[in-house]
Amino acid sequence: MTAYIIRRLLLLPLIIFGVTLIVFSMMQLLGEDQLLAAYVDPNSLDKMSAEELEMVKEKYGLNEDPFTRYVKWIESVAHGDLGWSIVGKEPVTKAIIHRLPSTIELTLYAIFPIIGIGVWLGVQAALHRNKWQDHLIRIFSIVGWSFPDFVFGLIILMVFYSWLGWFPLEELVWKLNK
Amino acid sequence: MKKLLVVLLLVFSIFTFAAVKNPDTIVDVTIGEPDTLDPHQAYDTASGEVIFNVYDNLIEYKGSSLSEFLPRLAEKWEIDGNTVKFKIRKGVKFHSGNELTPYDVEYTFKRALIGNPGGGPIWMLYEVFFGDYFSLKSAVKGLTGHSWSELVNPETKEPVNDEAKQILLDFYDKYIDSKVTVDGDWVVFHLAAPKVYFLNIIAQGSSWGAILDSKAAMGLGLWDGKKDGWWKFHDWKKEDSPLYAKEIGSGPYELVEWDRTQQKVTLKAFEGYWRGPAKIKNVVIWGVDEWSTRKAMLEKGEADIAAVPAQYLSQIKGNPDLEIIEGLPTVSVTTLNFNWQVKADSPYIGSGKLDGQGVPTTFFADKNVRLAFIYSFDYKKMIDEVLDGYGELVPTALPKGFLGYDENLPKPKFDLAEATKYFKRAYRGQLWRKGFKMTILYNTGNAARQKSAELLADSLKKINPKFQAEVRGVQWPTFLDARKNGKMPLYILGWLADYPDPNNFIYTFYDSKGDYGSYYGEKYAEFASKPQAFFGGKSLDEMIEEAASLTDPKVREEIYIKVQEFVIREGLGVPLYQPVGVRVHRKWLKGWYPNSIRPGDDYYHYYKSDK
Repeated sequence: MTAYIIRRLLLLPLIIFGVTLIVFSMMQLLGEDQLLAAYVDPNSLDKMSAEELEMVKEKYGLNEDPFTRYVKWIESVAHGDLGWSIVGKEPVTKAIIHRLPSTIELTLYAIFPIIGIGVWLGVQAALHRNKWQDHLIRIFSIVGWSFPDFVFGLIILMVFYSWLGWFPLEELVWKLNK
Repeated sequence: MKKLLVVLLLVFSIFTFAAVKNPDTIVDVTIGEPDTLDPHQAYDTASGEVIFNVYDNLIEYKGSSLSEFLPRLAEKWEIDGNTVKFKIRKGVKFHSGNELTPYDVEYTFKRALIGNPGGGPIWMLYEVFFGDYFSLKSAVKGLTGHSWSELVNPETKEPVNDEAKQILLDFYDKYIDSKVTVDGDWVVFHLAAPKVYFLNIIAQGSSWGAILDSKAAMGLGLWDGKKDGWWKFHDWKKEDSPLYAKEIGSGPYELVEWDRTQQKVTLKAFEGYWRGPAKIKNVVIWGVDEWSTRKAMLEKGEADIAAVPAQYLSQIKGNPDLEIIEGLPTVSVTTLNFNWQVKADSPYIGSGKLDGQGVPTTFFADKNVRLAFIYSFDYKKMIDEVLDGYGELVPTALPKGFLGYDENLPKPKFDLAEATKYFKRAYRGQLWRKGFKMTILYNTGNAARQKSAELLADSLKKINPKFQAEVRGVQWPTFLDARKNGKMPLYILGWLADYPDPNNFIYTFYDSKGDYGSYYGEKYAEFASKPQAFFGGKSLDEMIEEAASLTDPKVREEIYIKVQEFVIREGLGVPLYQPVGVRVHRKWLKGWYPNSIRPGDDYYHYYKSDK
């Protein structure tokens, strides 16, 4: 067992290296101009001259060769600088710190019902194997599993927000905003 | 189950401000969020809206007008040839408590010129101050003979040697310091040539004309106002600017927070505002990208203003609580543009010859071909089917609402018989007999451009089965590259106004040095600089540039109309449509007025009332 753990641990750096390489290569597939769209507003992209495009590429290091960029990226990651999140519009480390507590809280809230109801349903299904209860539970799980998030989300929104107007909202929002 | 909780969280977050019973707060639910709040970097309307409300410019537009101005931080102004003077108002306080001085104005514009981030809006200031240069780097290269990278080390951001340092110091003295000067209570701008639209460029609504608090700016680590070391403050990354998520303005609102997790900007009224504090004390501008959420909030009265895409408008029409204003002209236009001289190695012109398997490189230098193409596009179908009717036809690329726009000019027409007539005339009937093959590109993801290209290709085939236009989607970089290198025979592109002066469209599209005109090939440049009897011996370029240098709006209008007549006669490209906007807010919101160049809302004039 100890040998196994040690073996896995020794493999870890190799796996991390592989992952970084794959992630980085995926970004490269986009091409430098596509990457540029993440830095410049589409309206100005329409209007920029070729010279200006080069300037922006230079500023963000997009015109350097992939190897140099990879090394630079790994170097800063090793120093704890995960870079700038284009979506979150803040440093990646900060974005993680901001979001992590809420994520954990939500996961915890979600886990207990999942275990409780899930195990109970499972037991019921097993006890009434191939009876109507089993079928019903199976249909319920399959529908639940395959329902697209965005449709499900809209239904929830409609029922609880538009029709019922429930929820002890203030407290949670206040917590999230902090 | 986890899904459910994630959705619940989304729903919870909607209730942050219960505005229904709160007459002090306005919630504006929109799409997206600002790009940056640094006025010299921001170039999008979401950023522009925040900047509009937290900063003051020197002047503002009079209501809905795009050409009349009212004083703002400037009490009055004088234009005398190349110089434009503004008398700066006294007793204005910034949010920091500092008092506005003429120096703040000088500092602001110099910082803009020095900072000049690539891809930003500052090219407009370069155009008026330097004429032929559109960025600091190109000005340095053109005026000193040295490129930026020869002078400044990109790693240390310091001059490479003493000689380089001297060149940069001299550049500052000669070309930056002299552009904006203070004379008592006045600030004087020294332009490269008389440009009447300078006022449009810096008026309220242009982020790049917002006046910064110079003391606060220096405190944050922006340019220290000194000549020595100015180069260190050039071309910063967006996220490196101290003003990325901060403001140092004097406007009616102060920035409380820009919460990027929730795409939410919160403003509060500035109690020390020189025009008196705003009636609405809190403003929340919130990026809620999901339409059904925005709709629910608007219907419940939790949002006062909502962004409503045209295709969803029918869902809320008839709601007695909502005010819906349709038919608002936007300041953008989508056009079909011709390349008069395609590069011979272009893969989009087939054989490159008039043999039925391609088109000659100078295909669109032929007026008959251009006019035939213009008659071949089904404008009405495009507007009805693709834009749900939310578009208008305009005679040329100049949008409705601008100086020089003339309702009497003929608008483009879909007429297959006329198209046939011109196609038969082109190349002495050879084109008609042999036919042609070409590729029309669009950037994938842009449905409107794709549909336009398909409509055009369809009717070409209808006119003559030998006319084969293949519509092909390519990635945006490929599209840009093909345009840049003159490889596309024709293409569909849009233009959103930077400032509401006809020059921003007429020069862009029809001057051979304009942003679009410069891509129409050498043949076009020749044509545009050739003297024309129609203009009494002047060239098209000369006419356009003359109109930009004059101050009398009447005279300018005449020239622009004349230019447009020429454009229509010669078929120099054609506008496909000008999108039309929709405004939706709760009826209790009062004080809104339309102004097509303004980014978002002017909250200072709002209040809420049931009456």
